[in-house]
This record gives sequence, C-alpha cells and structure tokens, in this order.
Amino acid sequence: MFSRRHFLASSGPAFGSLALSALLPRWSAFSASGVNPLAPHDGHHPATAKRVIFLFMNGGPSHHETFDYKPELARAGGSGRLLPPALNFSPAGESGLMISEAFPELSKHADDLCLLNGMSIGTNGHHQAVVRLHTGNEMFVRPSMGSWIVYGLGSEAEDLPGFITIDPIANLGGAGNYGSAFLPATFQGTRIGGGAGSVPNLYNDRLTRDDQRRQLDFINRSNRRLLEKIPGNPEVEGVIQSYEMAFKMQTSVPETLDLDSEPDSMFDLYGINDGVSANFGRQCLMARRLAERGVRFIQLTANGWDHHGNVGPGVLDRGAAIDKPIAGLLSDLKQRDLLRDTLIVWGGEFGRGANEDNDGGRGHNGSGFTFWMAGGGVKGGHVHGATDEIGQEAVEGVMDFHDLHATILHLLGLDHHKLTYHYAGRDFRLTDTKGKVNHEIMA
Amino acid sequence: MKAGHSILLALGLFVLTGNTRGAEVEEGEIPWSFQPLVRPALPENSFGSWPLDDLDRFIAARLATEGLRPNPGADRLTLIRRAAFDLTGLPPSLEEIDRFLADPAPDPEAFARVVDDYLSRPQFGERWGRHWLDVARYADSVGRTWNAPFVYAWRYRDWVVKSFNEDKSYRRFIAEQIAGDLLPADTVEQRRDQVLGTGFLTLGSLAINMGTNEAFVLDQIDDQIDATTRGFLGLSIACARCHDHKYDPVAQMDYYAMAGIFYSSWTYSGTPHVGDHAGYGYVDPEMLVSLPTDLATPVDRVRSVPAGIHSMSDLRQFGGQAPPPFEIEPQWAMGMRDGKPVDCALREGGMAWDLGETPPRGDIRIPSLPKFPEIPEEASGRLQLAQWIASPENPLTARVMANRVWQHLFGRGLVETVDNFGVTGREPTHPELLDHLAIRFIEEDWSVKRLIRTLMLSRTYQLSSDPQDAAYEKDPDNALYWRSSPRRLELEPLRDSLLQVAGRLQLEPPAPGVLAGNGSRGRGKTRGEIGFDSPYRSLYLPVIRDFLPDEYGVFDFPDPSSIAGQRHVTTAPPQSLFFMNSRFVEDCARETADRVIESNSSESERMDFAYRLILGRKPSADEHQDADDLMKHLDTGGLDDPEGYRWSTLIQALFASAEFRYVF
Repeated sequence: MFSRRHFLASSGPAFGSLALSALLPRWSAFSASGVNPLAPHDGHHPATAKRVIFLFMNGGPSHHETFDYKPELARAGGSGRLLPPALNFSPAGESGLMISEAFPELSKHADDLCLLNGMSIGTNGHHQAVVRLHTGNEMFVRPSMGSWIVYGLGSEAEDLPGFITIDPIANLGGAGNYGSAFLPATFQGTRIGGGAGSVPNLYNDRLTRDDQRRQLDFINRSNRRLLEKIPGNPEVEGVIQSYEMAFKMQTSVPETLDLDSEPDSMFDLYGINDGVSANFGRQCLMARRLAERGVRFIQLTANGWDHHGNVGPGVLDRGAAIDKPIAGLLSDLKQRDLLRDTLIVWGGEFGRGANEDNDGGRGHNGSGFTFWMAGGGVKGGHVHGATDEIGQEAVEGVMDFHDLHATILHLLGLDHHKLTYHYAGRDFRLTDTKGKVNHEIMA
Repeated sequence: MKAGHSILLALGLFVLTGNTRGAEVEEGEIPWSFQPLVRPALPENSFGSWPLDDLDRFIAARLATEGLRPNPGADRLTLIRRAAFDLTGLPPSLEEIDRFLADPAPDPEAFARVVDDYLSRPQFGERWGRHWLDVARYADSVGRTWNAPFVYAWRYRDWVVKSFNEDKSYRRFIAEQIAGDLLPADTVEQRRDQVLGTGFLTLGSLAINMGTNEAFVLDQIDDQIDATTRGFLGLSIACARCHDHKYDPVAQMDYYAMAGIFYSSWTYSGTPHVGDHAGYGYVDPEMLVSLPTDLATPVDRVRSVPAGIHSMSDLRQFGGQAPPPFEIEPQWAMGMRDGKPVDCALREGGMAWDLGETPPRGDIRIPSLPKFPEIPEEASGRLQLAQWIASPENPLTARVMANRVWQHLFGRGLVETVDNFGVTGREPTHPELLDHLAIRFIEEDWSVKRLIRTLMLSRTYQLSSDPQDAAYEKDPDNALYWRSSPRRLELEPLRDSLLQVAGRLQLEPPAPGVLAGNGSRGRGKTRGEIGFDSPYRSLYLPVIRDFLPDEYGVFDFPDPSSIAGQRHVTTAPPQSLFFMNSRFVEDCARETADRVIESNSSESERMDFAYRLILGRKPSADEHQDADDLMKHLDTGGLDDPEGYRWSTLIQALFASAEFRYVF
C-alpha cells in the first residue's frame, strides 16, 4: 500500500536528490521500514473531501434546543414529564433550515449545512457513546477514525503530523479516542494544546539554530557515509528523511499554531476577541491553518454539553462559545476556496430526551439526535432524517455511528469495506461488519 | 498466499454447516500448523563447509534453489554488537569488544564464548522477559474506564525475568502461567513462585466500573482465552465468542468449553469490578491472592488487611492531595485459584444473558489437535488446559515459541504473523526448518536458552547485513536470509543504551511500591513514581495503560492492552525530534561529554574514546576531521563551558546517527 515511489514523489525537491531517484527502481518493491507511511496516496474512488475537521461536542448537546425543531413538543409540553423546547427556532437562509436562537451567526451559513436529524446509536452512556463515536467500538481497543483515515490516505502535510487533535478530553476513553490501537503508531493522533500549541521535543533551548543546523549536517554526513558503505539501505534512508522533516517541523508547527501572525480581522471573525468564544475561536483558527497545510484529520473539542438541568440557558451559553468560531471557520474556508474539499462534521456522543430530567434539563438520549456536516461534497441547506414528533426517537433516515463513519470515509474516497487492516487473524474495519454509506446527502 | 484452495474450500463447508463441531472436519483440510510435527530430512549440503549448524542447511538449500549466494560473515565488531543487544538489550562494553577482537580462537569458537557469557547474565532475562511481556499484554494498571493500578503486577514481571534467567523449561513456563496454583511443588518457595506465574491470566484490560458483573466476568474470560490461545498457540480462539470462527476450525462450542475452565476459576487482579466491591473500592487487596506458606493448603485470596496504604479507601485520608505510593505486602500477589466448577453456557451472539447449550468444560474438539485431557468433576480444568497446551503432542506450542525466538534474532518470524498460526496468518517461509527447530526445542527439554544459542551460533545469524545487488533484485525483503536484516533498536535498548553510555544506568531494579493513585477517570490519576528520566532499565518503568510517556508511542512500544508478539517499526520525524531536542538525550549527551572530557587531555584521544563509547569503534580519518570541523564552528561565544558545549553537541549527533539507532 505504501510504496516508496509515493514517498519520493511527494517529498519534493528538498528530499529528492539525484542519488535517491537513482535508487528508486531498485527499491520500489521495498515496503518495510524506512518508508514514510504518511506519504499521501489515493483512496478507492474519487473523493469530494480531502480532509476532515471534526467539531466534537462533548457531553451530548440537546438537539431540541439546537437543530431539531419540534413544534409538537412545544404543544405537548407540560403534559406528563415532557419538557417543551427551551429556545426559539426560526428559518434561516434560502433553504429555511430551522435553527435555534443559540446560533445567530451559524444560521447565516444555513445553506451550507446538511443536518442529520435521524442519528440513533442505542446507548445512553457517555463512555460507550464517546468511544463508539471515535473508534466504532466501545467493547475493545480499536483505532480511532482519524487514524484509519490517515492510514487510508496518508497526509498532504509534508512537515506536520497527519492527524491532529486539539485539547482532547482525557476521560471517557481518553487517549484511546485518538489512538491508533493495532495500526502502526505513526497513525495516531498528535495531541496539541490549543493555548500554547505543543508537540513533544519541538524546541531546543540549548543550541542556536545555526549550531543545530551544523549538528544536523554532521548527522546527515555520517548517515550518508554509512549509506555509501551499504548503498540504498532503506533503514538509513528513512532516518535521513526523518531528520529533514523533523528540522522543518520545528519551524512549521509553531508557525502553524502561532496565531499572532493573523490580522485582527481574523480574531474578530473567529470570535477570539470575545471572552466566551475565545477558546474555541482559537481552536477553529488553528484548524483552518492546519487544513491549509494539508493535515488530513483535525479534531476540536468543545466541552460542557451535558445539560441535565437548565437546558435553555445552558445551550445558549455553550452556543455562544462556539457559534461565532464555527461561523468564522466556515466563512474563512469558503473565502479560501477550502470548504469545497474540507468536510466539517459537528456533533456529540448523543442528544437529549424529550422528558424533563432535573430542573428544566434533559437526560441522555441515544435513540434520536442531530449531527451536521458542511463542505466536502455534502448537500447544503439540506435536512436528512427525522425524529418522531417529540424528538425522542429517530424514525426517518436513521444513521448510527457506523453509518456516519462509512459516509465520512466515502466522501474522502475510501470504501469502508475495503479499508482494512489485518490483525489477530482477521481483517479489521472501522465499521466492523456494519456501516451504510448515506448517498442521499451527497451533492 | 494465505492458504491453499483445499483449505478454503474445506472451511467454506465448515462455515456453511453452522454448528458442526470442528471434529467433523475431515483430516487434511485443516491449517498447516495443525498438522503434527514431522521430523524433516536434512537437505543436501549446498555450500560446502558453509553450514555451522544443521539449521543452516535448510537456509542454504533454499538459497541455492533460488540461485542466491549468502553474504559473507559479519566482522567481529558488528557481531558482538548484534549479540549484546539481542541477548542483553545493552551495547557491549569496551572491554568485551576488545576481548572478542583479540581472541585468537577461530570465529565460531570465540563467538560461542561471547554468546555464553551474555546468556549467563541477569540482563538476559530482562531482555527476553520484555519480549514475553509484549505477548502477555503486561501493564501496571487496568486501563479502560477506571484505570486503577495493578499494585502487584511487578511480581509477575519479575517472575518472567527470573524464568528466562533460570532457563525454566518452556513447558513449565506455560504450565505455571495457566495453573501455577495447582501444580505440585517440592518446596514452599517453589510453590509461591509457581503461583506468581498465574498473574498472566489477571492482566486483562477491562472496564471495571461499568456493566453487570456477569458481563464483566465473561469479558475477563474472553481476555484469558485470548491471551492463552494466541500467546501459546498462535490461535485466535476468542474469535469464536459470538459465532463459529469464520476461518479457523474452531466452533463457538469449543470457545465455551474453554470458557467453562476459567468460569470455574477465581481471578484476583486487585482491581475488582464494581459489582464485587466490599468497601475497598477499585483497589482492593482482598481481591489479591495470598502466597502459600505451606505445600498443601490450597491457594486462597487475601483475608486480612493490615493498616497502611493498601486500598482505594485508604487513600481517602489524603483528600484531594496526591497520595503516596501503595505499600507492598510480601505475601500478596495477582493470581488465580480454583472456584466451584461450573460449565459455561454458550452465549448467543456473545450476549451475556442469551444462554444456549452448555458444553462440558474442556470438551474442545478442534480437529487434529490432541484430545483434551479428562477434567475431574471437582477441578476447574486449568491444569488439564496447561497439560493440553504444554505438550509435545500439541503441534502448535513448540512451533509458535520457536518462531517467536527466531523473530527476535532475525527480525522476522519464519511465520511472519507470530501471534497467528491460523488460516488467516502467513504460511512459513521455511516450513521444514520450523519443524526442525520445534522438534529440537522439544528434544532439548524446551530450553529457550539452548534454542537461542543454537540460532546464534548458526552461520545464518552471523552473516553481514551488507546489500548485494543480485540478491536485492530477487529478494529485497530478505525472506530467504541471504543477509542479516538491520534492525532498529526498540525503545528499551535505545533508552538503556543512552543511560549506559552516559554512565548513569542503574542495573539494580528499583524497589517495588512505585504506584500511586486510584485510577479514576483521566490523566495522572494512577501514576508511577519512577519515570522516563530515572536511571533504571526501561523494563522496570511502570506501564500505565493509556498514559504512556510520549516516547513510547514515538518508538512503537506496543499498546499494553493488546497481545503484541510483533512490534511495529516506523521511522517517523518525532523520533528525530527526540534525538535533536529532548531533555533526556541532551542530559545523556552532557553526561557522556563529561566522561569523555575527563578521560583524557588530548583532543584526539577524547575523540577516539567518544566514538568507541557510542559506536564501539574509533572514527576514520574522515570522520575525525568532520567532527573537528563541527566542534570548531560551533558558536561558543559567551558560554561558561565551551568545551562541554562542543563535546555534548558532537555526542548528541553521534547518538542521533543511524549507526547508533540500528543494529546491523
């Protein structure tokens, strides 16, 4: 799958010395160590999306107060334990998608959104649902969706990791949610802090840059000398390449994550100048910068959606934290012509029930809730699927996380049946034996 | 090619016939690895005096058939470096190198002395024990949803190291891990030691704070079946939990016949499921075994807990403060004991409450494998399971281990999928050689050390790794062993070597009792008191599931929740960043620089010493010049210690070189 040819082709003039190209035919069959498994490669069919930005809403945002308009619930509200929707909805955009007052800015992008209102996963436990969302399986340790995607496609970012997750949660599966499990470790997500933007061992505070370059040149010369003795040795070749990449990452990672170079207008656009949205705004702006540089899978996390009480004020508050940042991200990607092939996916581990839980709040509900997508070849201003009249159960266009994964892979040009990895005696898939691609939402 | 058509056809039938038990599959239609061991004839000698051991004749015959010539032998320096890392996980000392280079004895004899020396060192067990710990999914915490510490896992770890150092027969090594609590013993000490082996069955990564107790127990049994069958037999019987195995002739009934054995046993990990709590919480000493103090009394769990820091409830006194490490009691361990014998009903689709037929314990009818011994009514059957696996009649057991040993010495198994000898695994590249080795292994009392010695004293092991155009063309992956395959140092030998060169490595293991915290949700709730920058060998650093130091992932340490007999080998930029920028490497370089500077006052002597310390050899004239140039051009203006800066910069560069990071 990862041919040396791919790697050399992608590595550009900085790596592609004559000596290396001369070795190409001799080593083209060599696919073991020493070859960069992150080199980009084609999927199974033409893709409409080249990369994914997954906006993970930790806690299970209420669809009743966000994207699933239920006038019946409002009418029935107060009867029994039913809790009427706590926020107002109004039609947005030409498509007239119904979106709640929690998202005034995002509503302006209604015509880019594809609402998936028929999500249903059959569990109400945070842990099960979060892990299943990320890896497809909460029973066993499995590779995360981002790892599968980078395994399937490599990365176009020459000097950055292929899968980056900003400020991920430490509980509910923790590192397993961006882990590579039995896939090679190189496909695991790289965790960075949204504040400082950290990757291990990125800085050297002992050597000046010039001295480090001298040191690196020395390393390269000794490796080349070794290579002369054992020409074409792929292990040594691999080491040589990885030092060049590492040297570049020292610059590229801080550069990419350093937002100071962005104009103030960008800070406004992403809501970074507002206290409530500053944090997620920074994450979104970093995501755009990572996407521009070809990172394949980027995950952001917004916490605090577990509204057992006071769901109205709660969703308004959390909405304010992400509304402007996401709207800013969509406009910015659009103006850079990146939304076309960037798939945005928004959602949490489940939604919330129609009944009142505590004091104006709602309990967990995995049997009906909302995800949405934008860009990357999905229909805009579109609603797919529906819950019943009170928003409790998905009844139309029902999708579970396997279907979601299958659909995301499809948009990226990957066939979820064919994206397999042989481990422990069988071929594993992100979607296990399940998953149905939703073709209806594709533009 | 995965399997012949006949096998696929046969299994197709097998799958179609649903509940048909494996026993009904006709003979001759089963995976190659289920066929009995057959002593192969030694091939005609193809290369004159080339073979040093009979095993070389199998390699030579294949090379000759393919028209390839093997490489010449490696030079002595390369060879001793290869042997030192393979046997001890550490570089050879300068004295060892000098002695070997100066040994006037012929190469084979001189090399045999080197091998025997390393085989006798305590570091041998640490190196080979770690290989086994990969298979045993070893960790110091339970992982998953409530990552409570395994306060006593280290006892199993040390038992593994000791077993390899004592060259415990592999049969016994197996038996003690499955049924050590049930084996007869001559001394109390031996009996206690045997019980420690059963720690193997207690190390599963399980969700201890969720679900019903019954579902938890079934998950635990699944882990035990998986570890036992994949670890010892290369068979994924756990695939048959929910349905008959899709590829291998293992029926769901076979799975539950084996499950009954563990269903009749108690598992004591010290981290009970929430359904088993009795006031101690998720760290519960009463859920450990108490090591026996006589030869007769059956093994029991801990019955009384002294005051101290032993349980999760003992941590309450510390409130929100970080608690000190758990105390260690000399009698306590993770392990197994027999419970009330109960057969385990088949669970439809693997669902805990959807009961089907109940196969008797041990009614395992996998075709062509030996008959399972009769299980007495009052016994769990673990002893019989151990007998069934650790038997010369079982065609898988010796093959799987001989192959694991081969992999660690040659870079790849004769069967590449070391944990999978089923239909979906790879077929052996040299099937006769594998049987030849498996039979020798059995005949030489299942001695792992002797097997290792045999492999290392072969010609094949001692080849140079240099490339050869003709052979590359035909066999770039070196599947035919025309050269020695260069190997990247894994995390542990790499870290240990850096400490060794810096003069900081502490060979004595740390005192036990380095785990603190109660698990809980999230990072750092369970922690080890000794970390990556401590001076101990890497084997002794606590393995906290899901929260391994970054370096572990960077250097492909396997996920400690999974059985992983084979490590990934990647060459990725974060590895380079580790050498270029990590505080750990910088510190080691600085300490090595001090050694170098103190060693001599002459620049040239220092240079020789630095190269010898790090690469085992003196620099060439070119290299010397190059290193001088690097040091001369460094910007040392305004530094307090320009000499230290120059030398540590050079030394760090030598650490970063491919020559240091690989064994050739």
